[in-house]
Amino acid sequence: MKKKIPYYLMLMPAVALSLFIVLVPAVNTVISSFTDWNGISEERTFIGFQNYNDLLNDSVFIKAFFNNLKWLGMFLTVPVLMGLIAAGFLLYKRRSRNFYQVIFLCPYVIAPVANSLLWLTMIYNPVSGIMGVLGLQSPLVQRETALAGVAAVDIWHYWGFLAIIFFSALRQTPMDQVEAALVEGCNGFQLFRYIYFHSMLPTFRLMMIMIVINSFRTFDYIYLLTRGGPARATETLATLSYNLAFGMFQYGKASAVALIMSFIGLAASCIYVHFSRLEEIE
Amino acid sequence: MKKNWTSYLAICLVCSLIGGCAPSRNTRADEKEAPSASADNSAETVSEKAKEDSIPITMWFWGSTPEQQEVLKTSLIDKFNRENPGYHLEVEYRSSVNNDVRVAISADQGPDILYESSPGLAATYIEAGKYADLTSYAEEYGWKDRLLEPAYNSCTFDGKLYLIPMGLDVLGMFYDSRTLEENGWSVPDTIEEVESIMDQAMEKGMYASLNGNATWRANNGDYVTMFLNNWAGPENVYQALMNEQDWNSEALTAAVEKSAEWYQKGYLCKDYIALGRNEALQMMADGKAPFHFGTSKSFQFAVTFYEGERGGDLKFMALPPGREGVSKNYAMGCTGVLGINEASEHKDICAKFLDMLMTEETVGDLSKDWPGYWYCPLKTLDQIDTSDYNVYSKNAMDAICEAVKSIDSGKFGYFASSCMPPQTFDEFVNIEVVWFGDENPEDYMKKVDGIFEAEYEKGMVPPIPPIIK
Repeated sequence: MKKKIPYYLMLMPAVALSLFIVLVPAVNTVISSFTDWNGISEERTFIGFQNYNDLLNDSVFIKAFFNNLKWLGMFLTVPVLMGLIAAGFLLYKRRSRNFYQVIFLCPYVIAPVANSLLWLTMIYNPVSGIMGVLGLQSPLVQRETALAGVAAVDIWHYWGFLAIIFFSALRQTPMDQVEAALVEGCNGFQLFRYIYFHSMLPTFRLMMIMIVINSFRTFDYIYLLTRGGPARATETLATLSYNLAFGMFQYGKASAVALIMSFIGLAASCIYVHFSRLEEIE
Repeated sequence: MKKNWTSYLAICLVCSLIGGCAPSRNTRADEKEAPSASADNSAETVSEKAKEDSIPITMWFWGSTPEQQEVLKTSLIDKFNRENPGYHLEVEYRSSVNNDVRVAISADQGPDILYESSPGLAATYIEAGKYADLTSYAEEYGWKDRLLEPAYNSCTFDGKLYLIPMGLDVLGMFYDSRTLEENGWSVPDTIEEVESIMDQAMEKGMYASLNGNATWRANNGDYVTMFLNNWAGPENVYQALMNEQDWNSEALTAAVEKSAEWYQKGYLCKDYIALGRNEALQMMADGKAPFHFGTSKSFQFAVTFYEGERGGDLKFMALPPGREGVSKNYAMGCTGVLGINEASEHKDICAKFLDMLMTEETVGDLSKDWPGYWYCPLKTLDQIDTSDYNVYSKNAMDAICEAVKSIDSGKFGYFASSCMPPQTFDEFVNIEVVWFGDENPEDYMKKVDGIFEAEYEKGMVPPIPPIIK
């Protein structure tokens, strides 16, 4: 036991930080979501489930929720497909793969503020941007295309990271399986479907869960590019929560939105844990 | 040996972590500031030695440009330090100042002098007791006699003064005199003439007017202010704000409908949602539009684009009334408000700073090199000597003096951002739902009325200066 004391001591800062920086605010958020607290005054009245009830009857909340679902749909398809194709391509580019990996990762390492400014000024700008020069209207201006316009920037930033992760997973595929499959006469698609993809499935599943969690937390690019507009076309749960807390002094309701977001993330995490357990049993 | 090194490394890591968690600076005014790496960000007003021997008075301000920071240092900070030995003013420039102040004062911390964008936004803090009551200082220094009555009243809550308007911000119409002249247009006197010029501009491939909300969505609130005051009229807006008239009344709904008509015609700038305000002003300086509908604060943004001989071309005036029965008016707001932190232990010296801000000398010095922002609404604003101003700064000051005359005679309107409670204002910022045709003006204003009613009942409506008859 004595021998273990230093290890417990070393764990203490992390545990203390987690307790005070995560747990205390989390409990405070849960409590606040049942109050009408404005975030400033010391008074807070317990109002039961009224915040949740109001949200479920609020068209803006419903719209934000569906925008998150649309966002999720886009992120589960476009960057994943791009990442898979690029990862497959990297497998066969043995000499130049390091160069391509750096190129693919570039947007990911640039700060969201810089990425957003880049797109706003060089691509979407109606005067100096590529779209303006081509006589096209920026997608951020129209409510039908605004969400896709913002998602395009985030996908551009994110897909390279996915490609590298998928590539790393593909490289773990045992070569004897690949060679055996080739001897058996597998074509390219069959090789990917039954050998490579099967091998990378745990990583793939984890990334899908991470995309679900992140899609319901998405904030930075929306805030930087459209701030939820035009006409709430890009409003998401995170921007709504921020606006309620910092713009409208409705901290209680903002906490309720944040909690709903957390529950969705938690549900996704539970699904992932469930699949992982099944895998272990198998 | 390896274990020892690992333990040593772990201890170092823990120490650095704990060190990193400690506050990097003391925000309490009574504690002396240790020189820190963040000094670059703070306006250095006195020598380091003098700084160590004097008490810091702290203020957080929005992220101004280096040029603006230099003006503030010369005309405000250095002056304050000279006149108040034993104290020195420390200004920190923060791009997220509103949120930073909010978090700090919630914990009874924060700077001595509090900045906020408008009385409407400060109302919640005042109600929570975070701002000091300035009424006794107002009596001691005679602030009420020096400030325009509506501006003073807009900063009083339950008869007590809590805020000081840093600068007058009025809504109107900018025009580029050279663009008008080059296209054979004269300065419009009526709204029909404004519309006619905009139609002709669009026929020529120009923008009808230029503005943008890409970087500041709350800019929509300025347009709402414009249509409510110029089409419905200040009397109707005042009655709605006092809950004596519904927001979905005929006059107010018609004003919102008019805004949708203007937006759909392209009068409010066809690229409004894709452009930032500065970009729009630069394009206006390039002759791409005759007008910019906005607040006088735009003078501070446009100054970069109207340099040298172009300086005299940017002019500002009240927008002609939108219909008969509405008088020409300037919607009156503030560029920002200042108050004193209830937690500050140096309220008296902070009050001296506020008093210094409300003098012709300080306003004159600041407005000379930073046009558009620091026009503290003094009744004697027109007595400031502008002989050493450049033509741009003089035009800006003349425009404000004209607005002061109008406001002093009771012809003023109500600024959405200053007079509306937070959720009502937020709903007006989302007026795009009407412009895009997602909601019709009647339903939209009915929704606004419901939101306002709830906020009014909670006492969240900021002080509304009454109309002077």
